[in-house]
Amino acid sequence: MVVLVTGGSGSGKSEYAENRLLELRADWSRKGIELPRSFYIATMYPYDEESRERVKKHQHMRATKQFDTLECYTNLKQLKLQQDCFLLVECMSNLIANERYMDEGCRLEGEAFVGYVMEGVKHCIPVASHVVIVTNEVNSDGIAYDRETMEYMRLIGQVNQRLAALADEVVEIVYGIPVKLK
Amino acid sequence: MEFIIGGSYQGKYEYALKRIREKNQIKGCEKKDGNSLTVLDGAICQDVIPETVQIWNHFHLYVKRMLYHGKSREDILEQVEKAYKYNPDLIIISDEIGYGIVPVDAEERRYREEVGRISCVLAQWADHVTRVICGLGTVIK
Repeated sequence: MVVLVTGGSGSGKSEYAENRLLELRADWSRKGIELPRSFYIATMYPYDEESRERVKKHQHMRATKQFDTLECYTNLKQLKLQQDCFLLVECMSNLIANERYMDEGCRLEGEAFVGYVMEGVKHCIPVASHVVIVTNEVNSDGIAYDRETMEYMRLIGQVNQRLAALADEVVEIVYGIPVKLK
Repeated sequence: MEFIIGGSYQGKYEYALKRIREKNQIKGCEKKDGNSLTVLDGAICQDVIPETVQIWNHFHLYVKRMLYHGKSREDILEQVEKAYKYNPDLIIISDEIGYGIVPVDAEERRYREEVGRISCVLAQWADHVTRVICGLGTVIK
């Protein structure tokens, strides 16, 4: 099962995504099968004090939820995952920014870039029994940004559409309220 | 008239094409793709809208340009009314742009306000309003 969670900043996406994964884990436990490991794929590169604070906040939120955190700033394909694991990927807009702007990122453009990011996601899906992916809504403030920022937004939009197409469940979080889109 | 809204880069135009394909299948007509449709791009089209338009994309940018040309809310609505009365199957696609901080710049502020108010009228006129997120449409009217 693939679940895509989207929403604006500060909408409570992370918390919802974590709890959704815990629900799926609980369903699994009820079947009496041994529970596989849960991995939290953290894509945010802690480049300043604010982002380190953010990482801490999220770590604190996960403290009791038994996740193994794997930091992966670019190329999801490099992840070595346990078969049947539970996976939470947070989040796609950071991953896309890293792929575009970090030295070790992806230098492809346009459709090829979108394909590259999707290959990373598709590498994880068959290995995991359940995947929850967090992404971000950044496209509704009406600002005409510079060309590069608009291209970054367009790429997020493209990746989000692809993710939604392959996901079994798509949920938009509006101030903590889950609105089911698919 | 159908009104399709959502943030930028969400796949609204593709969604509109899908709707037309579905509709044509229901009616038993031949399938149509984007090339055989009269599509208008609000970013570059003329102020006076041809009545034959079937998909009117980037409507918010049309509003922006019309305001820049000194046209009023009423002028813009007049063009929409004319187009959808001629073609009741008209699809209008517009970005939702009012979810950020209200801009300090007066022009920018007016642009958001006018797109908002005009969209309210379009939503009233429309038979259906669909909001597209990540390529998925939710019919809200």
